[in-house]
Amino acid sequence: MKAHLKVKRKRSQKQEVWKFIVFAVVLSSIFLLYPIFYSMYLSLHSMQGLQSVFVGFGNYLRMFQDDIFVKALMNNFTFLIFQVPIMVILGLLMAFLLNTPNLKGRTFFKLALFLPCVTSLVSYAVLFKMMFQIGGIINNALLNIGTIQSPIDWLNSPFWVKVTVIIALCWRWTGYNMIFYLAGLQNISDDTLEAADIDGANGFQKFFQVVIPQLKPVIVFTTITSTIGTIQLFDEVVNLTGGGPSNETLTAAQLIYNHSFIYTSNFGYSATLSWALVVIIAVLSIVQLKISNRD
Amino acid sequence: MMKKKLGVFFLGVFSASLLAACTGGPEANPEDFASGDENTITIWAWDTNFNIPIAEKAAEYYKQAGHEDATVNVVEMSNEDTKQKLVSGFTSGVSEGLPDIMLMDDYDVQNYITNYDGKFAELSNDIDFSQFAEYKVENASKDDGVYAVPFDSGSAGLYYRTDYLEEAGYTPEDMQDLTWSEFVEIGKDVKEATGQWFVAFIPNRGTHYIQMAMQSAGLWYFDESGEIYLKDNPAVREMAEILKAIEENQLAKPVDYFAPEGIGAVTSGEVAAVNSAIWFSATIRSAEDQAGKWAYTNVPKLETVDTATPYSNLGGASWVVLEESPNKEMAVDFLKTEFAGNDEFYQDILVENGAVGTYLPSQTGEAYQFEDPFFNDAPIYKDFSEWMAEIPGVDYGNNTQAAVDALRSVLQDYFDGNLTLDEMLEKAEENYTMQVGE
Amino acid sequence: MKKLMSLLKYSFLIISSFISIFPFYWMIAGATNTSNQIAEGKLTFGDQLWVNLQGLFGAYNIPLIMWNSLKISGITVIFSLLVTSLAAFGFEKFKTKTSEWIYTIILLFMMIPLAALVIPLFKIMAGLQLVNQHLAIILPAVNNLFLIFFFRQSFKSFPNEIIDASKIEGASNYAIFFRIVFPMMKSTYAAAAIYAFMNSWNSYLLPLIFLQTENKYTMTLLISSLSSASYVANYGMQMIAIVIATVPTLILFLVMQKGFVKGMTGSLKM
Repeated sequence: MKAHLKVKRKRSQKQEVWKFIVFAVVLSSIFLLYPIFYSMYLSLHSMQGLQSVFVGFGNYLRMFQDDIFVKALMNNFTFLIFQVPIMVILGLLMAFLLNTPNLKGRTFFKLALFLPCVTSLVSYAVLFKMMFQIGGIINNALLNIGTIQSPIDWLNSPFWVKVTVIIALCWRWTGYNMIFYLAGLQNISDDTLEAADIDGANGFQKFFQVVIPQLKPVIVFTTITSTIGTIQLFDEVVNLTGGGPSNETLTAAQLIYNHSFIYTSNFGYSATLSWALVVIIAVLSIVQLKISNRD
Repeated sequence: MMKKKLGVFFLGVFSASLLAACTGGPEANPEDFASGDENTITIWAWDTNFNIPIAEKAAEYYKQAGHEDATVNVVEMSNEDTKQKLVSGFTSGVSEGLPDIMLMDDYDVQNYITNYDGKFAELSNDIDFSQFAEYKVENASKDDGVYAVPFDSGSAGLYYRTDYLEEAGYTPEDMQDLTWSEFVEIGKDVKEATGQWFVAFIPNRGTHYIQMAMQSAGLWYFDESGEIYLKDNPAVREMAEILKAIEENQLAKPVDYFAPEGIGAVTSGEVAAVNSAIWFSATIRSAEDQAGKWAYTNVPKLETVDTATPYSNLGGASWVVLEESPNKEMAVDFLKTEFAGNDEFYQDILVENGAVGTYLPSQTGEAYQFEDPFFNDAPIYKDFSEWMAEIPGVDYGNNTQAAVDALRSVLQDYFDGNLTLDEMLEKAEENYTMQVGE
Repeated sequence: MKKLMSLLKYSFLIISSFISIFPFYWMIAGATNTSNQIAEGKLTFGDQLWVNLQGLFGAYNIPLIMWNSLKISGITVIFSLLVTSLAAFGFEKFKTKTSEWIYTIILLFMMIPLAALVIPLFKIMAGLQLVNQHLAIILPAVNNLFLIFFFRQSFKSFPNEIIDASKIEGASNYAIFFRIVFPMMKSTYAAAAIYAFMNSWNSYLLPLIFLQTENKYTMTLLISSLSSASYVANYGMQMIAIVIATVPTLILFLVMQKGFVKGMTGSLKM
């Protein structure tokens, strides 16, 4: 009798799930699955303009010898290694501080810290490009404060240009991630924080012992999405640095775009590079999930 | 029961809204891309200060010349966007959404007419191309056909500030017939004497200098067989050293020369010299407070190349007609009537927009004799046009953009001493090969 | 110690806020200056506001372009919240082997760069006669995979007991979702709405590819074309366009923020 019920329930669950996911599945099939198969098909061809030649895995072999692709990937990783941790930590700290009781000017701070993410990627990249000019406002300010003796060529020095991109990314995305932490903090029950207060926990303890563990799912998910975002970085570098100087800020996504629209319109090779990116992102995400699930 | 209703309800809402969003269709303005209407053509071009008003003027002339009911839509679109839309359209086999006529950068013309064979209209039966500057026609030719109507000239020269040069002890006579290394030496003196930047561009992106120098000697990034030609290219080698000297001596204000910062550096009087084309004269002229302080001469000459001349080209564009355009005939007729036959139109855009065409019959016109008070009454259009006839023709090949990127990716390492000249050019050639996959 | 902590806290917030706000000040000041002044980093307000405004509104149909952006983003937000939260709820609460497989595949899809799908998408849209239609931008954006992931993460914490209890009372699963889950997860929906709106508002590559004509343009596309269509870009006009494009997202934040504050006061009551 019981077993019978269970089977029935399972069957009904099988139908229930479809009622919920049907729209997403249909849309995914048309606008993702089909294009993906098509792009796999493309990746086996080498193209130039309208000419297309079947090359089998030739594109993949070519990719392994492609120093520029390697360099672009290394740039992606550099951005990833510095920007994501800085951003996550700053975002958490901001969210936590904004959430402390009796904070004066809470509304102002919250609004101020939110502000960067209301700008579009194109807009802020254009703004930062102007601000970081050699004769621009950032150098003027630093020279006036006396932090630096001579202007820094932010956009043309191989080192500083990376710093510029990381600063820009942090500026734009920290407040954005903070939103998710704030939203996550809403779901932490009052009791938990009250209990910590009663136990006499100070700010640091509350932050590390209560907030962080409770927010873990949100942190994991912002880390993974930021990772994906950084690996797919495109709009910002295109508008801020154009990938230069000397490909020092060229990203993999920009290289893919260049192969599609700037060089020889070789969509086959672009598709190949895209698939390599997919594999890399998948591995990174799985690693991050595994690490976060360990404890 | 309830859940069924809800499900139906949502399906209904969903499809209804999609439909609603769809019905945005009819209000779409079909005039911005090629339309079926017989008397309408659409043109895509970039630069609201130059190409757009010129195309609009051509449309006016066309209407006045007995095509009263013709409609010519000029749509502004950046050069990158036009290319991107073209590639998307061609590659996916969808010609809807593309215009009848579009402007194309000369460096791209060979690339597109070769790689997108059959997508552009062959024009030599309708238009007499012997009337155009030869190097432009060559660039638009493939096999026996010509696929683009040449438009503006990129005839290049060296513009300089007479006052800054004088301060550094140079007269206009001293500026004649320079070599590139003399040019750099003068730059050092000017910087020392005046404290001004000598030029404004980012040295590691200074491929426009290399291109001007290459073309002045009839060379390009590719050899006769179309192979990448950097390492053994004497023009590239000499110019790499010149760029390095400019970078090391900090002669160039490191700003994009074609962005507001670069333009601003010139118009606000921060730089003493500009190597650029005739179309740049409009920018210089816009700094009215510097009237009378500017002069021009030929571009510097290469020392190590036998074929070197002081005549070169930078930029310039041509008009292409799309083969699948529903109004191809009208589009061709429009180009033929105005851009390949209307002297008055060319005089007009010369005076109004500072545009020097490559349509030779127009250059005997009166407007070309104009003695420009801004340049101390020098006949700037006449001079640049005369130089134009001397510019060595080169084949820009299919992959200029990839070669540019390949070079730009290594120049800074060479400046910084991480790579020798040979290593750098070798690396650039490797990068190029990787980019085009040969 | 407490005082020091407090000082640190406020200094951190004040410095962060200054850094966050400064570019906005500069952009508004820039809207009143000429291109050259902006390039030179002029900090103060100028007298070019009217000139820049006239330039921008004279050259482009700004109200129409704004309306396009708003329409696209509005429709995208409503449908993507609906589609993705439904799917996430199904994936989380009615798991089957197949659905878990589908979910894993969808997560993998999230990692594919848009640039790789451009040409196939273009073919699909051309087949559907949607080139230069706003629907071409809306359709691929509705099914926002990131939101499916986000909602599912959030629904994990939604107690199954409530669902079971409602079921016993005879409510259908749709009814449970819309009457119970949705109202209880408002802060999640708020965050998701912000995300979806920003995503759509900032979307660049799809509009760039599918929208051909100026009367179909979005603000983001306009800003990018302002910065590249002319050799002599007009920074003042660009600044105004950026300011205008920022207003709707700003308003959205102000509205949503009220929801946050409410939720927060609730969670902080002693």
